[in-house]
Amino acid sequence: MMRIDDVLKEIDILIDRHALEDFIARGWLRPVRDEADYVFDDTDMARIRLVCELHIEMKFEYDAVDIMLSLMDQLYQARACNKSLVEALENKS
Amino acid sequence: MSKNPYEILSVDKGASDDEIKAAYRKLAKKHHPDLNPDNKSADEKFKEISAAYDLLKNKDKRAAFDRGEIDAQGQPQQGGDRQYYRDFAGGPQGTRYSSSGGNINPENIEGIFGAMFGGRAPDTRFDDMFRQQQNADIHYRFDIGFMEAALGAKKQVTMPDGKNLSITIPEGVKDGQKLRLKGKGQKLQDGRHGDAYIEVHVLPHKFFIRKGDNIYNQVPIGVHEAVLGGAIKIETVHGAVNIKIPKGTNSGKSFRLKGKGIKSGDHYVDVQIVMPDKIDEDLEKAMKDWVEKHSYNPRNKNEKESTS
Repeated sequence: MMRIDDVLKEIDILIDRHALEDFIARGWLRPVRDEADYVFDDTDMARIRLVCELHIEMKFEYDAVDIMLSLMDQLYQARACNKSLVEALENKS
Repeated sequence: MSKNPYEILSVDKGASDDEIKAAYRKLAKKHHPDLNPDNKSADEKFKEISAAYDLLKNKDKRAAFDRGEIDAQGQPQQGGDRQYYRDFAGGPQGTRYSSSGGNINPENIEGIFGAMFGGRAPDTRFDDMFRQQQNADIHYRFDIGFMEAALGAKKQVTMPDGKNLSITIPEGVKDGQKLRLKGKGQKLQDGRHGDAYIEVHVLPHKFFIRKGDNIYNQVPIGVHEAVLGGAIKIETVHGAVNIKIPKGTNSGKSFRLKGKGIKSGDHYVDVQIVMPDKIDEDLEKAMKDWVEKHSYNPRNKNEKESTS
């Protein structure tokens, strides 16, 4: 589990706290938080890298990133559903 | 034997920095592993592209490579065994990012099975299956008031197991935010505790609309206030403040109260002119007198603008 400052140190793309908070406000990142501040796990870190690469390195605009993430999330959700179904089927037989 | 970075990015030896950047972007968009969830070779390809770009974007490294002082591997391998988002998306944490925001509801799956197997009651093994998937972390959700979310609060909550938890709601918490309470989850067999995760739902306010940390609200003003101006009292999350309405204020005019929103956000007041419930003789007479002396039609102004 990492805090915002740890995340900024860890990420090799130049971004600041403000940008990270903007990504959270846009719903691109959904870290949990405790009483002090946001906490980031490995999933969040991988997602931050992805968002930075899409938006900062590859220069996809805000709207484009919105759509890409939304499609990606739908894809993974459909897969998770599929996986549960397959597992349930296996247990059934 | 690794390939020449110029060949990897398909650029000339004499390519400019911008050309290299453009070539990298083009290839990265095509080969990023998260944009190719099922293509295992995208990983290798992307690593190769990143490494080539890493070398060529750095003037010193590129010059050293051109002089033959370092080979294409003469740079630190970027990322190493990097984990991409796709490596997590299917895991339990990835459900946080699923589009509906929730976990897959086992009941839906049972429903599907019910239909598939001719309406037979779901097998108890389904329940077992989903129970096995749970770990020591527990997840709850509860509603908090708009003001509690705006200003932060301490709350006592009774959990389904009867335990009381004291929760500090941070100032400016957003709708759908998950709060982690370390060690408040279920007890594992080895004595350790999981964490409790609480998803907060911020209830709407009667007058305030929240967008990020800014607050918007509509405030009615009387005709006399719109014409003559004056001071009006505005409620904000930080208490009431007085604002001055200038003479001749129109409906839809917005006033910003700096720093009166959530945390460092602002409060925006949109004023709407509201007629008295009853137009009495005095008002009618005053208007009639005024119109007789002045030819005023706000639509004339519009017509002039649109034809010019």
